[in-house]
Amino acid sequence: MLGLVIEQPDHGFSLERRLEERFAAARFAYSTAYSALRRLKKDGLVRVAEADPAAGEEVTYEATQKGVEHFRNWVRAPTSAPVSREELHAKIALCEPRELPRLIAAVHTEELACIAELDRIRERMVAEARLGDGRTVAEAQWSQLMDRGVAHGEAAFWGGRITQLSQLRSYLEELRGEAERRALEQHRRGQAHGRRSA
Amino acid sequence: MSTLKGASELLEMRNVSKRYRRGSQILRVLEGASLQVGRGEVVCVLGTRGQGKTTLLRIAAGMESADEGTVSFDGQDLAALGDRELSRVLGRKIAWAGKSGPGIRTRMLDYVAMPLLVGHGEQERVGLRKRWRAKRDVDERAMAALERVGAAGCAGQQWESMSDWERALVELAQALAGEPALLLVDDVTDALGIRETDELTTLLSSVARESKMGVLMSVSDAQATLLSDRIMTLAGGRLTQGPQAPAGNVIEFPDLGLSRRDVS
Repeated sequence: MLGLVIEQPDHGFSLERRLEERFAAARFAYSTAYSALRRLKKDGLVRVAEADPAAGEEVTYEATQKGVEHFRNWVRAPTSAPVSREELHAKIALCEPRELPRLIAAVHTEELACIAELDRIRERMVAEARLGDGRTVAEAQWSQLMDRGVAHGEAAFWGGRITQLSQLRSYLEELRGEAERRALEQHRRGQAHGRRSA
Repeated sequence: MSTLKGASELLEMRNVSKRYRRGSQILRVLEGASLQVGRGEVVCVLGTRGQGKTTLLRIAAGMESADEGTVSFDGQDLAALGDRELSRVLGRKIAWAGKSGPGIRTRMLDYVAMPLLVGHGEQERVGLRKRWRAKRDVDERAMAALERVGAAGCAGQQWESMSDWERALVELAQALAGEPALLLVDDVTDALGIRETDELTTLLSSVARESKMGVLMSVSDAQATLLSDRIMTLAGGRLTQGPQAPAGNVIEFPDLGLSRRDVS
């Protein structure tokens, strides 16, 4: 936000719109821009420029010297690596051996949910294709072509998750199989020992 | 065809298991896999390489037998068929499209015609004129198959000189030439781009609907499933029929009991 103010001093609503346009993928909430501006003002990094309320002018925000320096330091500072905060990953990391069957079930549940997502995209695509029945991809309408591009991107995402989860599941199932075999062996050994002592 | 046969699914696999022995290790390729393919339906099996997709298709085609479970085609148990009947069913009613190519130097028209020549040994006893007519008939049918997939231009081509897309179309033409009831497509899409993938599935769906043919295709890419009728996934030997879970963003997890620790 500070960077946007430095780039071009602006009204609150314009800044909000610019934030939304420039960082569409981040899906910032409407209020994000305003709370950010409030915080920056409190910290003395931005200030309200001269405005003429009599002329009905809206307040314009501009950066202070301290703000410009703060921004420069931020730009030069090393960037943190992307983080992944998947709830499921935390569950796997904290799983105890005896919870393995339940963890496998959890992974399977999520896998099914991802398949359901993929299937929803498939249904949408099929419905669209039926509308223009007989037409090849080359003849399809522009909007339909764009939609296909998006659908393929989404399918790649869910497909990747399905692949990852199904591989994770077979790995966990292998571990469970090994644990079961070990337990069985121990049990047999115990029995043999019992017979000997009898 | 009796009503009973008409009521059954075209392909039905029930609790199929397949294991391979690798030294002392047993490789579980399929564990209780069940699936149905109806007439006019395109079913996708999604899975990464080495998950047993080809094995599943080979079992569906009767090329390999299952260790456990049943495979029935058009109401007939494949395991109960003799060698002669099996090869008749395989060559005529079940077709296979892969990526192998002819393996010898030949025009694509002759390659596409190959399945039409299988099992035509009886023609050797007829006169030269009739044989010539039969050959002309075979060529016409092969050409029609190439035209149907929009690859008529490939008739005189050699396999080596064609693109992946043309190769996929020729493979499809060869499989369709014999007008099969069931078509098995083994990972043909993995070498294709997204537009070609869409084009191929659209083509398969329309042929399937027109000829009441069933299609079972294996894909390693979720994008290739988008225009199919049904998606299944194969991983760790398990075939999953999707979707069974309710669609939505909230996933109900089974209780993992992470907060419950033994207190002594």
